[in-house]
Amino acid sequence: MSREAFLNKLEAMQELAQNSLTGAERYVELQGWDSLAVLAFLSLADEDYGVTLSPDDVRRCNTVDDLYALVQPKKAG
Amino acid sequence: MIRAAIRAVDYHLPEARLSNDDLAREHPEWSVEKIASKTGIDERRIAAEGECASDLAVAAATKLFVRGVVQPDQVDYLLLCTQTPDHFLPTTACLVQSRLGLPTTAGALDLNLGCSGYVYGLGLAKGLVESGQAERVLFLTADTYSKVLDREDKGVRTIFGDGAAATLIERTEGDRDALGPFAVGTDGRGAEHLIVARGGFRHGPGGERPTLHMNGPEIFTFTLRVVPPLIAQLLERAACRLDDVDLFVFHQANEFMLEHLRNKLRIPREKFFVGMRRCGNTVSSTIPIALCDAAAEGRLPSGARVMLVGFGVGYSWGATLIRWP
Repeated sequence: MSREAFLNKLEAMQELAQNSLTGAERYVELQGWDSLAVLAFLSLADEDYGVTLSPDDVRRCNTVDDLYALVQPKKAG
Repeated sequence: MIRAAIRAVDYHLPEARLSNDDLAREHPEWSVEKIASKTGIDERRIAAEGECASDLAVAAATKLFVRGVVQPDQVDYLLLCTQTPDHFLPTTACLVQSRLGLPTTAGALDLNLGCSGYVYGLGLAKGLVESGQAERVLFLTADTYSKVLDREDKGVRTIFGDGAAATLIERTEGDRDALGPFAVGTDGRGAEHLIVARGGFRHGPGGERPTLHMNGPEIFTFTLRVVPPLIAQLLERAACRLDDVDLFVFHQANEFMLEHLRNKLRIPREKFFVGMRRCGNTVSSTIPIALCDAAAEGRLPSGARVMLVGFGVGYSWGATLIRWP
């Protein structure tokens, strides 16, 4: 799934304007980001990308692009 | 062949209600509406000052007696699941035996489990009945988590409510399981994520009131990891398929989590019961309360095959299949 699709999903999740995210944003500063948003993101990763993340994985991220990297398939080797 | 079977289930909720409006008035800075839309909870019931687990348990059990399901002198074993006992000791089940007028020849014990407790209690009841130790097991679940909630903790105040349920398990003769098989699991590494750390002896009595700490995202991740394999294991033991189950009743943690699990497991909506709007998450009583509510809505015909799945504090989890009486 493309980066653009991911950004759109995140925008929908946080009720942000479509195509408003660039990926460079610090995710904790997104409007309305709270513990429920963490839950919603864990849910999105599991449902749409088949990746079961831990809250620590999310905590280690800085930007929206870091979140995108989390849901990418792990590279072999 | 001796088989244990559930004969009847009933429940009791305390009087006082804590609505979303009440919470919004108390904490205008909390986005209560948004939280309510995620949790699927409109109000919780809260035990009064001095109203304890045994009081709720006695009220729930009395409903079974009043309905004529069983009389006190016919009960030969009492199991009581609580994490908020009246006292450290004696065992709450002993207090309840006396208050209900159960025979002094009856066994009685507490089990300390939370959201998985209903499934575990059914497993113990099955063992007692099918090994010939008991003919009628009264299994009570009762908790007053409200007494260990920090008023300022949005994550727990919006979710938990108090309540109790009563289930009668009795001996029958039959060729097929009416209760079971079971699949369970434990992982104490998750202890820190759902815990009342004070009040026991590890940290001494201290000056602070015991309060519940919950790390919601950790619990969510734990649930996603254990519930799908748990269900697969149970289905394998029962030699049946997901389609063979008439209704799924999971621990009613919150609607967001349940809806996610339902999607992940591809369980059709009409076979999946969600019902905590009027009472919140009542810990070990959510499953029996949901069973009663599902029956009242006409979703549980007699003989229906129901899968029960509990998961949470411990971490501890368990699943079983029952036949609705």
